[in-house]
Amino acid sequence: MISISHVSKSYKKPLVRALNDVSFSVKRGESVGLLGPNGAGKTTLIKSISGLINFSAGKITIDGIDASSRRGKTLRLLGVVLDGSRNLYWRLTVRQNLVYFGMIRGMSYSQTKSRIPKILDLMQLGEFSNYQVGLLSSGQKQKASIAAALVHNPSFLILDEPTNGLDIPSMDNLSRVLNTLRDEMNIGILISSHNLSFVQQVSQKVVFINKGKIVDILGIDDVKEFELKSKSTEIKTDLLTVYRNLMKGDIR
Amino acid sequence: MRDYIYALEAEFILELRQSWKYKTGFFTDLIVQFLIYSALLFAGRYTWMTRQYGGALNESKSLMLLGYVFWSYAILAISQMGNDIRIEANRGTLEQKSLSVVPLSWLFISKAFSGVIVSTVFVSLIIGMSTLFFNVSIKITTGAFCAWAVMLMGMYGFGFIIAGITLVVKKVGQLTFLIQIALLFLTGTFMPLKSFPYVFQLIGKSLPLTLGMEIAKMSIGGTKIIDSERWMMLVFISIIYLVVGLTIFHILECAARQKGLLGKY
Repeated sequence: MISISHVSKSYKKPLVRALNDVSFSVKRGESVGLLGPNGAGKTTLIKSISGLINFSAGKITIDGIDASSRRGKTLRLLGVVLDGSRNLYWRLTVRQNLVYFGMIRGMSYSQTKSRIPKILDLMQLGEFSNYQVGLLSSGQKQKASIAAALVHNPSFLILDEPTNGLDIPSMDNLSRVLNTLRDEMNIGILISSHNLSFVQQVSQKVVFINKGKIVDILGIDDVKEFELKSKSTEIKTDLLTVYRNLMKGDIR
Repeated sequence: MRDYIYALEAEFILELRQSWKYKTGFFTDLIVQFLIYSALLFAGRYTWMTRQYGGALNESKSLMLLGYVFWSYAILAISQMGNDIRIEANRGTLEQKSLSVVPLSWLFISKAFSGVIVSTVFVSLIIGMSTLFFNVSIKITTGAFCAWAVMLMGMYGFGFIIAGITLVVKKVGQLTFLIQIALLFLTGTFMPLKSFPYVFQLIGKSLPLTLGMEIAKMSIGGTKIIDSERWMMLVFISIIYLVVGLTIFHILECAARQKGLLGKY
């Protein structure tokens, strides 16, 4: 389980509180959406979980292992996709990228090579395995990035804004892949996005975040119920403000 | 331990594949470097070397080639990691590298190993061309080889300092260029160190490149006994540079994680 407990992050110059007492968890086989407008703190939180940013207070553990003090151990359990198309070496082929990223995450050359066909098959990338990444479409690059994040067989997959630059069919395809990973491989998934409809397609639980603070955590049925209520009532809550901001930016 | 070996292997494979992908750049660099070397050879500032390190006067060109080779490796050691960090940050792969199960510094050490091998191919081609066009070659002695290896370790320490600064400041290309040029003059590569003011001599003598090159030139120039004091000094200074370099890199990497700068470019 990824456990985030009272995590805060402040930057000194300029003085910004990017995360403010954030707590929630992601279990194996569960998919959690992290929804919030631009600048809400989604990327900071994801990078804090991944150890790319040192947070100021609180604790993050992955399967009970402290993510700050034992980063090497926790990174073995995580697959992370940041800013989709910029995760890979574009001049190398998909297969060559998978070999590289598998090996720097604790797998031998032979282990990586034997795992690659399964991952390529899962991500429906088999026919593109020997293509240079730079020649792939945005959707295929995104899938190749996910393949690279999964090659070392992690327990959790974290994706930061995976729908950026994707058209609707590619998004549908991606949501199918993520649901398969969750349901068939028991992988815990955390997806940050400002795209409400995509998050609804792939998440069982949604964490609404705004200005570094969690506004609410709702099950997916409650999100749908709230969506209906928000159109017919005059309720004024922080969640409604976040929700309406998201709806303005939602492309679907 | 296995993780470190796998990462070393991964970086090695990556470096070879990338060098092959960018082979046009490799050959362009080869031509440019050979032209620079030729210009320095024709400038004729090398006869002082045989007076200082021994050997016949016609060996002075060989000593200059040796200086050039040492300088080439030294500038690689200084600039390679910083350049790689800048390029990987632009590409977006630096953060993915940072998600490795081994420390980021180990990935760059691994890359350095493979970089040295690729550079050895490069330097061998320069020596081959020098032999072909100017009949100037170098004989490699055990002493010269050991001096080269120890010098390189120290210069990679210097490289780690530049790499750490690149993680935080990002654009240090001009600083690296200035250091490369300074090394050309302050290390006795082409001009005797004695011709510089005392302060510069002091700076020059504290560099592994200067000491390593001096020992290698003495070894190749035929000086029978190279005093152990020089060797001790080279080893000591190189270790200091490496330890300080790695420490500074880790401090600056920590600062970059604190400020969320790893993904910035």
